[in-house]
Amino acid sequence: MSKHPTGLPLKAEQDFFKDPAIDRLMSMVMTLAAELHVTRDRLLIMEMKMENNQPITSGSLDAFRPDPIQKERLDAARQALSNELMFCATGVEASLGTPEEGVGKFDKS
Amino acid sequence: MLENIPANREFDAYQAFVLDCKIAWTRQMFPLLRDRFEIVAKDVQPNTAADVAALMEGDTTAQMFGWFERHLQRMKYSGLRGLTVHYNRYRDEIRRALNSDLPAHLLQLDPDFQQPEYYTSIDIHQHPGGVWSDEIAGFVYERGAQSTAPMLKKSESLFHRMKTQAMTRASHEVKKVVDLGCGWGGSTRPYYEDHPEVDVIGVELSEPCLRVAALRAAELQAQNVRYRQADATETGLNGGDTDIVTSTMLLHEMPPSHIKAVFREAHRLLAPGGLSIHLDFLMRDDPFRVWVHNGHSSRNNEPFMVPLNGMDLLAAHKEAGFDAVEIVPFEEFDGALSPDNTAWRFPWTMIIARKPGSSGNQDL
Ligand SMILES: C[S@@+](CC[C@H](N)C(=O)[O-])C[C@H]1O[C@@H](n2cnc3c(N)ncnc32)[C@H](O)[C@@H]1O
Repeated sequence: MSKHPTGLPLKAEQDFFKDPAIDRLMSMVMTLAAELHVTRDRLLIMEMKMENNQPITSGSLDAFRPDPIQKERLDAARQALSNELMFCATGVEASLGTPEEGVGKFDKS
Repeated sequence: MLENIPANREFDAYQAFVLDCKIAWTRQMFPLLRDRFEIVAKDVQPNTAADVAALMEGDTTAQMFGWFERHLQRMKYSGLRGLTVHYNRYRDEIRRALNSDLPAHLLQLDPDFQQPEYYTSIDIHQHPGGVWSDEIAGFVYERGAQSTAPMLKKSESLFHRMKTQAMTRASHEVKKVVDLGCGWGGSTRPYYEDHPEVDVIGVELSEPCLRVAALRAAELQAQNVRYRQADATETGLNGGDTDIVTSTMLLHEMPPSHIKAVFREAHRLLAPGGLSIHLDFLMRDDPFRVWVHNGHSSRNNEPFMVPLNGMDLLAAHKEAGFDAVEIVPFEEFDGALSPDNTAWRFPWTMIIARKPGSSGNQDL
């Protein structure tokens, strides 16, 4: 646990959900999601280097700077994941479901 | 030195991911929250932020909105590849750059300086240790400011816009400008860079921020700026000869007693006819947005936003010696104030006053 330079105690983290366990789980999910992205990004870069027959070392991956075409690919992969996660957080249906008032109105019998 | 801090793809990838989520929060989640509010407020007329809070109690979108606002900022600063965590690895390089020999005129530090208690008791905008306690905090803050308001492509353009507002509102030739709470110098730079004939002084509490500001000025070979460690309420500068006293995002970081003292100090510093112009956040007329703003204040560790928003700014200015105050919305990018802009934004507002006295045009 980090200690504050003033010596003042660090308080409990803020809660937003009725069950604070959800707050903590959300933190874990987002930490993992960010880390998954970092790993996928590295994997994509390895593939790019392999496609170009470039040597793959830990240092060259850390120092990688994409060219504009590579950047576009990497940005798109990242945005697909972040958009999906944020979409999941909105609670909006992804396909049109049954009308709230039911389907009786469609029955013409 | 700073250019020796190596590129780190994993850090960049992590920060870009957090920023992407923040942009989605700004552009998609905020309008959705407004929709949710409009549904529950359809048959009632909420008049206050408390009314809105009661209506939105238990709403899952509101809970998600709050969670993401708080935790994306936490992730940005102190998550696994957060700014403070990452740059800690390059402490030696940063320290060396910040302690390099700079032209003496650029930086006035006070070795006996005592920070105000309100300042050290809260880690403003969730920066662990605040922007003052760690020698690299100013550098980390400068890096972090690049993505504070995701709708702004470059934060620099906001600082330029503000500078233009101040310079065009000044009623006489501007020879001296004081920027209170100048941080790492982002708000100061357009004055000294675009106006080499103007004498510019940045005042700031935090030595780590002042060191970054001075380093950037040295890199630009600026001759007309100096940075001074002092409280904005008591700058120790000569009175009566400043043409513009300005601040950007300072007022909401201090309690009302300090805000009033800043207005008094601005009045003391100004020449007759001089301009006092502060850029900050005020949201008073839309209960939904006041609720969002108050929430931001709490979620981002910026608790003085709420009392600033409730202050009688006219009375505070009159008490400081000004006759009037003008509250003017500030457009941080083209179209920001348009009703078509449904994204979340800070309620940027200019608080403008002029010291009475003879110097041509007295209109605000
Ligand atoms: C949000 S930052 C803005 C910095 C800069 N004006 C900018 O726009 O980038 C607010 C700054 O005000 C400083 N500050 C807070 N209280 C102050 C005080 N009483 N006197 C001088 N500076 C203060 C903080 O250290 C911080 O750097």
